[in-house]
Amino acid sequence: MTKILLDFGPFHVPWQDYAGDLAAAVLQTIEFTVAGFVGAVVIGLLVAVLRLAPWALVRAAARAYTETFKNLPLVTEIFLVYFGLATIGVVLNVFVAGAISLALFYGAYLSEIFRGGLQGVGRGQREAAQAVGFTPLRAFGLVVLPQATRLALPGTSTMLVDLLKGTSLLTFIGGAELMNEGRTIVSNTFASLEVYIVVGAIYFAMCFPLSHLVLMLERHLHAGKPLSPSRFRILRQARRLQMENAASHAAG
Amino acid sequence: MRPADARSDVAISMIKPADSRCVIQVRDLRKSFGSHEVLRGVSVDIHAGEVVSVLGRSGGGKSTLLRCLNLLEVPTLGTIEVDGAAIFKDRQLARGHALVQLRRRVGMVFQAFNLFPHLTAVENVVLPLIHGQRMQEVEAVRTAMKFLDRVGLAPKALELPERLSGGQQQRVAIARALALRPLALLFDEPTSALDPESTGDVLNVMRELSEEGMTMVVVTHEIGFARDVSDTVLFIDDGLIVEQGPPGTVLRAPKQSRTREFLRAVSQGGPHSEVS
Repeated sequence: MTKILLDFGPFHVPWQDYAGDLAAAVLQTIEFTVAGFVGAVVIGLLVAVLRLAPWALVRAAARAYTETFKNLPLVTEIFLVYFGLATIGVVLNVFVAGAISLALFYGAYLSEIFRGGLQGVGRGQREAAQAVGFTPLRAFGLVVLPQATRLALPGTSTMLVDLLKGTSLLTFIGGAELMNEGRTIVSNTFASLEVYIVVGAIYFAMCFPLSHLVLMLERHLHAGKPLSPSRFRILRQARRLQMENAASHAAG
Repeated sequence: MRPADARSDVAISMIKPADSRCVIQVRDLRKSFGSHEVLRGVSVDIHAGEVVSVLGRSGGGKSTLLRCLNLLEVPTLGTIEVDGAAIFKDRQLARGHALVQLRRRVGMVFQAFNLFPHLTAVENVVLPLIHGQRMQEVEAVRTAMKFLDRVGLAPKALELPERLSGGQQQRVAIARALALRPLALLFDEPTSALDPESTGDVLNVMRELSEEGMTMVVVTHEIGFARDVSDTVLFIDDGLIVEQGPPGTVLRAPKQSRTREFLRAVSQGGPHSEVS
């Protein structure tokens, strides 16, 4: 009776044997996520800025990029970068090919989100930044970018979570990430249901806190709380002067 | 008449234009948007310590003129000199470093305040000091708090703009412009977005600035302010200066029919635009 239950019930994988491999796979998933996301943010920001450039040709090129990589399946892009490029002599290892594929694909989506953020910063803000004597670079870095970031944060966090899940497609090129490890365990145990439930739970356990972390960051920024040490110092000094000021007004 | 306390010495303000140096000089300024010519040849001298009110109907070119003075709008033709140096001449525009330098010397206060909404009031004042004027951080915060105190908003220094009323936001914007120690301050309808009480607060700050000798160019619909505070009133319509002179002349005994029509129209407006 017990034997039958064990055979037909969902739980009969010796997980302790796989704990080390699973941990390594989770780590690999995180590495793909970080490398892919950093690349995607750089590409996305660059393309977003180019899409708002004053030159039509540059805008068209940036747009072509976005449309191309946004409208191909991620798996196709992964195969193109890993297998396709190898046939013309560009041989990339799995990690580099995987990270590049993710960066190209999600960079295209992020460029749209960032463009929306940049366009959401009103003309008056740019004018005020000019009027107080910021150089164009400072105006962008101190006034436009921080506000655009706030506007783009919700969409960006969705993309980050999607990218983490998207790393699972790298199993097709032997990415050695979580999904790949799941398939290895299934091929050893044939316990598809149990294994993929556990693998799914691990993905969920990574993604869910991640989205909440970003949500907390959003709230933090919205409340105007400082993240950088220099803002922290400025506000602390201002608070001190404010109290001295109030004291002197009260005394006078 | 101007109130006795508004300006300590009327005589000084009257001889000032001939006596003091020209901070902003505009010659035959033209500006077109597409085929529409918004400014059709405007010439004006703005002297150190002078307060110039620019009046006129909406769409007449007042704001465009003001925005040309710090090159937020690029003129089509003509000359603008700031402190003796041409910033725009024969289609040649100050660019790069020179343009940034100009912006630091001519401050601007906007109708919609345009505070940086992601930064607290004090940071709005501090950042231009640190990143524009290369001031040390500690000194910049001290300076910023001084100027916030001056517009009565030191207690609000740590608030985000969204937590401030319109009038408070505009006073922070004035502090932000003022802290850069500009040669002249430009005001683009600074009270048009405000309720009467806030308007009074902002106008009081501007009045104090004029008493301290700040050179100001104010595009406004506040006839009372133009009459009491300014040394010169410009009436602009259809891209040209229709009439200019001391407020006593332009507002009390306008020579041009268009000025009279305009003043009659605004005198039927709200309590802040009455003409005595």
